[in-house]
Amino acid sequence: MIHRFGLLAFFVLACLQAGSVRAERSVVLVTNEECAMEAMSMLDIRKAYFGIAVSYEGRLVRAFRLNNDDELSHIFFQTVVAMSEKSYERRLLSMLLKYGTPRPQEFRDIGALVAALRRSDCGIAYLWLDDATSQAGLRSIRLLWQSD
Amino acid sequence: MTLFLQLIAAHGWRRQIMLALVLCAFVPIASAEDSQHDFLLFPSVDTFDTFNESAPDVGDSFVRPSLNVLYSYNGGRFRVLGEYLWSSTEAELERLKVGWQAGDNTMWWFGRFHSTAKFWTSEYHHGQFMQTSITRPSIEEWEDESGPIPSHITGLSIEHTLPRTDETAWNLGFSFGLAPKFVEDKLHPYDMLNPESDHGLSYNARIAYRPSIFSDNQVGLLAGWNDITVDSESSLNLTDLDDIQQLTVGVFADWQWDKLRILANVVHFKNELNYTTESVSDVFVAGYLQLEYKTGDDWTVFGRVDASSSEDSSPYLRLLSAYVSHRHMLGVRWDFHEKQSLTMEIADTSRQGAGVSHDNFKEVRFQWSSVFP
Repeated sequence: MIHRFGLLAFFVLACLQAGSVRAERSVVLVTNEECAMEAMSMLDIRKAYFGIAVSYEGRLVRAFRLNNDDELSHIFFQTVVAMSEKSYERRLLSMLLKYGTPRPQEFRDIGALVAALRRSDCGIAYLWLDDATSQAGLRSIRLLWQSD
Repeated sequence: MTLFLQLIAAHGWRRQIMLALVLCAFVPIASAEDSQHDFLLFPSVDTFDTFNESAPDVGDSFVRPSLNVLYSYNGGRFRVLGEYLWSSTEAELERLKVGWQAGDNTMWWFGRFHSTAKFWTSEYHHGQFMQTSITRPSIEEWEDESGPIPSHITGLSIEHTLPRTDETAWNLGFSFGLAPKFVEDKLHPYDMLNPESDHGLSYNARIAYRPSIFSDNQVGLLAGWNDITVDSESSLNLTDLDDIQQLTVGVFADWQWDKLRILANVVHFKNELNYTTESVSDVFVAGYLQLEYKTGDDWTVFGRVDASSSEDSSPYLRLLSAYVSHRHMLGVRWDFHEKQSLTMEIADTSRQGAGVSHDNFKEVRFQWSSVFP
């Protein structure tokens, strides 16, 4: 009986621990650490991801995407652009056709994304907080999403 | 791909080589950091047939493959946009312009562009996949399809957005440049790759209200003034006609409520046809209303009415015998595999015709269109 109770307690604790790990999951907006930008409004972030010009100290802010993680992409479409992937892609195509507006560059490899961010003046990207803190040369400027 | 290579070969290499040289000129700039190239390919295959024609030669059936190539370069605030169309019937540099982003909300462009005062044209350009219907509304037709309003202007254009604190905005556009000439039975735009003199000027303006800068919904006003010079020796119909001064004023709307979308545009025309001995005034109204309804994620049914008023007595439209003065069209579109579509349209159509009566016929069209990547 004691043995069963111990097993049950172990599973409950394990589930709670897993829950607490998930609760800590966050997505943040990062930029090159040499960029002095301290914060960015959600409207400006959304504009940047639609290719609409947003500048900081006279330099255009370029948006980058990491698309190797379905959950991260899902959070991006729900939280940042607030529309379906199909509608978003269609809107980007329309802007490119009409105005030559560049689409956000996409990367499947986080290393390549980070390298592009470091090269850019004030580029932005969304990353899991864990990934953002483990990469040198980046600075988080806004919390975009946090799990319940 | 082989088919499209054949198309290129069929239209000669001079233009293609010149275009390639122009694009290559930007390659050194493109190596700069923070620069980006974008290519889009819009392939399509159209089929067309007629029945119940009022005259036997009113329209020939055809199968027409097309490839529209869009290239965009962005480096800092500098931008280049080029669009080139190949089809089995033409090869043409549609747009080639260089731009400068002056501030976050203003873009200056210089080069060849599509008229600011044409709504549909400046929304969809030659990106066939992006428009729901196969056909364009008659007042939005290109010059070589008997479009009554100049589409291609070579000169300067300015686009400005007046953002508000929320997502709403006002879009303002103004452009001026060289207008097309009237030759034989249609307008001929200024050709950057084969420049000729004697083109008149074109001024165009547009203002639009957008409830959200992140959607296509908009309503607005359009205005254009075109001095269209005439090659009076190119056709007997143009004898002693020196030039045409055209004023257009219009309203437009593109609005979507859930599954229903409305596209509409009404334009008031005032033309002055200046002959050697007299001037003839010409006033008419033309427009269209297109309704689209999404019946599912991938299916859209749509219909459009193209109509004109007082066009029968228009001396200007009588010069454009292939102008579609009336069309009642129904269609259905199926989107599949993310970026491919099949579309069918049937329509009851009237063309202006050479005399006082219209040429009537029924038409059926099928189309495959796509965009890559």
